[in-house]
Amino acid sequence: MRLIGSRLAQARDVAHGHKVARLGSAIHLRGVNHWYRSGRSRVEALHEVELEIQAGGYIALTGPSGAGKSTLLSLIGGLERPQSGTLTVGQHDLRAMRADELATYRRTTIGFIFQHFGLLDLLSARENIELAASLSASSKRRPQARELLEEVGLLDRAEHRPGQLSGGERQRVAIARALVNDPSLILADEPTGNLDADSAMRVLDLLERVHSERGCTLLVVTHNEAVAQRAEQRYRLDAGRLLA
Amino acid sequence: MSWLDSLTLASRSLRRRPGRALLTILAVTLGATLLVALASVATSAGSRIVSKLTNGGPATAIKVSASKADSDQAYTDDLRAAGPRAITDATLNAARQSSHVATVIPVIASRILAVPPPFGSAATPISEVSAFGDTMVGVDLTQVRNLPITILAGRVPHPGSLTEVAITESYLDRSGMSLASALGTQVEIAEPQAFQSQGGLQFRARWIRAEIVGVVSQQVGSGAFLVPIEQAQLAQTWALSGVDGGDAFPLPASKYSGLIVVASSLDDVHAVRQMITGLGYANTAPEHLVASVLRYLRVVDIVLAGIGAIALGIAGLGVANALVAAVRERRREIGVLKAIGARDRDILRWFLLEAFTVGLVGGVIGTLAGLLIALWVGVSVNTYLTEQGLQSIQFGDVSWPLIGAAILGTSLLAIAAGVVPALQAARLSPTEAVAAA
Repeated sequence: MRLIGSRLAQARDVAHGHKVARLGSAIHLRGVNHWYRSGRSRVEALHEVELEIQAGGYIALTGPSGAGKSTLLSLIGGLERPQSGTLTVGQHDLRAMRADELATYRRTTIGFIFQHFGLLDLLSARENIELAASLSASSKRRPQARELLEEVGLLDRAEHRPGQLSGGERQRVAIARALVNDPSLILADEPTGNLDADSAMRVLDLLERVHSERGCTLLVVTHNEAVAQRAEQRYRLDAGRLLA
Repeated sequence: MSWLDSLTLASRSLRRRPGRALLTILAVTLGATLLVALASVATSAGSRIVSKLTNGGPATAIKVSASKADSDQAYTDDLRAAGPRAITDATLNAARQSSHVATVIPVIASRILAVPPPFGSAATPISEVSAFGDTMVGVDLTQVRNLPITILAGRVPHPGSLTEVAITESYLDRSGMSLASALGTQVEIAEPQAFQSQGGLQFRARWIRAEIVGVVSQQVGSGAFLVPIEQAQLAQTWALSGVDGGDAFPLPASKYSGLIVVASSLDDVHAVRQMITGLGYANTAPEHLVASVLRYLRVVDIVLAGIGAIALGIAGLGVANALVAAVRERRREIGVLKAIGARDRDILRWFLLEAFTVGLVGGVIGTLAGLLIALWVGVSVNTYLTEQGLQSIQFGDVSWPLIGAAILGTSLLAIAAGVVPALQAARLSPTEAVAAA
C-alpha cells in the first residue's frame, strides 16, 4: 500500500509535469444517438450526445442507473456501434468499422475493467493476463504477465484462480489484464462498485498511477461521487443526455 | 487466441462441470460402443460366411478344370465339363493377360500310393497293409491366401519343401488316425511309373517319406494330400518318363490338372469366367451364390448401421444439448473475452474444441468397449458352436480402419453437433453478454 501510494505520488508529479511517455486516445462524439428495442417499443439510451475528451485525459462519468453510462462506455469501447452521429477514438471511426475491425480495435486500443472483474474462473491470475496477451499474438506473454502482476503487487498470487482472490486482488488482476496489450484508452465500468472502501482506494490509486505513468486516457463510470471527484474532468448523464 | 489457449479453455470448461461432461461423454461412448460392436460382429460374421462359401479362399477365386466347357458354362456356378482339354503354359499366359485377373495359380495333381505308419520292422504284414491309392495335389503354397484352403490344424508345408505334406480329413478316415495324432507323423508315398517288361505292364515307384505338418480342408483339387507344386512336378516328370499305366495310373494328359484364377474384384468375376469359358475351359466359382449372400449381408449391414447411427445421433443431441447449456452459462465469459478483443472465431474454436474433446474421449472409450463386446460375443458364440460340435468362428480381429473410422467419426459427429451452439456463442453480442453478468 505504501509502495503504491508513493508510486502514485510520483506518477502525479510526472503527470502534472507533462512528462508522460505518450498520449492516449482522444475521444469525439457528435450528435450520438443510441436506442434499444424492447418488444415493439424503443428505449432511448443516449440522445444527441456531444463529448470531447482530450488524449491522456482522466474523466469520470456519473449518473443514476439507466442514465446510459454503460451504453456510452460500450459505444466508446467498440462493443456496439452508435445508431446515429459520429464517434471517433484516436484515428478510429467506430461507426464505420466492421465487426472484425472492432475486435482488433478492442484488442489493441482498449483496456476494459468491469465492476464484476470479468476474470475467467477457469484460469489462474497469470493465465487470465496471458490469454489477453495471446489475443494480440504476443510472443512475450509470460514475461509480460509476470511484469504486470509485479506491477499490481500480486506476483505471489499468480497461480491463484479468481475464486481464491479477494475482490480487490481480482480487480488488480483485471487492471493488469487490461494493460497487457498497452492500450491507449482504459474504460472502467464501476471499478470500485464491488469493493470495500480500502480496496476501492487501492484500486483507484493503481488506476491513476497507470494513467499517469502510461499516459493513457482513463474513463471511469461510477455512481460514487468521491471516486468521480478524483478525475480531472467530470460528466454527468441523465436519461441519455450528457450534462457538463 | 492460440489453439493451445482454446484447448485449455475447452478442457477446463469440461472439468468445471464434471457431471455433465461425464454424462455427455457417456452418451458418445455408448453410441460408439454400439456402432463398433455391431460393425465388428457384422464384418467378422460376413467375412466368415463368404469364407465358408468359398472354402477359405477369396470370394473372387475361380477354379478351372482341364476340361472343355459346355455351352451353358457361363450361366452357372457349377462345373459344366464336356470332355478333357489340356491346360498348358499358353493357357496360363492367356489368363494372366486379362486386366480383370489378379493372379493365376496352376495346380498339378498326381496319382500316388500312400502308406501310413508303422514302417520298417514294425510294418504291418503285406496282406494287412492299409496302403491306399489317392491323389497328391500340388500348388504354389506362397499363394495359400488365394487358394480355397482352410487350415484345420497345424500349417501348410513350406513352399518348395519335398519332405512335408498336409493331409485332408479323407486321410484321417482311411488311416484310422485322429486329427491330433496324425500331426507330426510320417507317411510314405509311392509315385508310380509304368513300364513294359517281358511279363507285360509293370509298375515301379519313386518313394518319398514326408512329415504331416497340417490338416486342411481344400477345394483346390480332389486328393488327400496337399504338397508344394515342386513335389507334384517331380512326380509328374517321373510318371511321364514311363509308359501309360492304363486305368490305374494313366499318363497325365495335361501339364496342369487345373488352375485357380483370382479375379481382381467381385465385379470382375463374371468377366473372368467369360474369358475362361471363351478359352474353352470348364470352370466353377460361387459367383451367383456369393453375390446373393453379399446382397443379404449388405441389407444386414444397413440395418445395423442404422441402429448405430440412431445411437450416435442421440449422442450428438447430447453433445449439442450440453453445449447449449454451456453457452447459456458462459454468456458473461464470452462477453468478457469479446470485450478484451477475442474474435468470433476464437469463441467458435473454444466450443468446437470442447465438442471435439467430448467426441474424441467418448470415441476412444466407446471403440475399445465395442471391440471388447465383439470379442465377448465371439467367445460366447464359439463356446456355443463348440458345444454343438460345430467348427468355431474366428472373431475379434482388430480392424484398424474400423477403429480409426469410429474414433474419427465420433469426433467429427461431436464437432457437427457443436456447430450450432458454438455459432450461437460466437455471434453473441459482446454488450448483451456483458449485460448478462
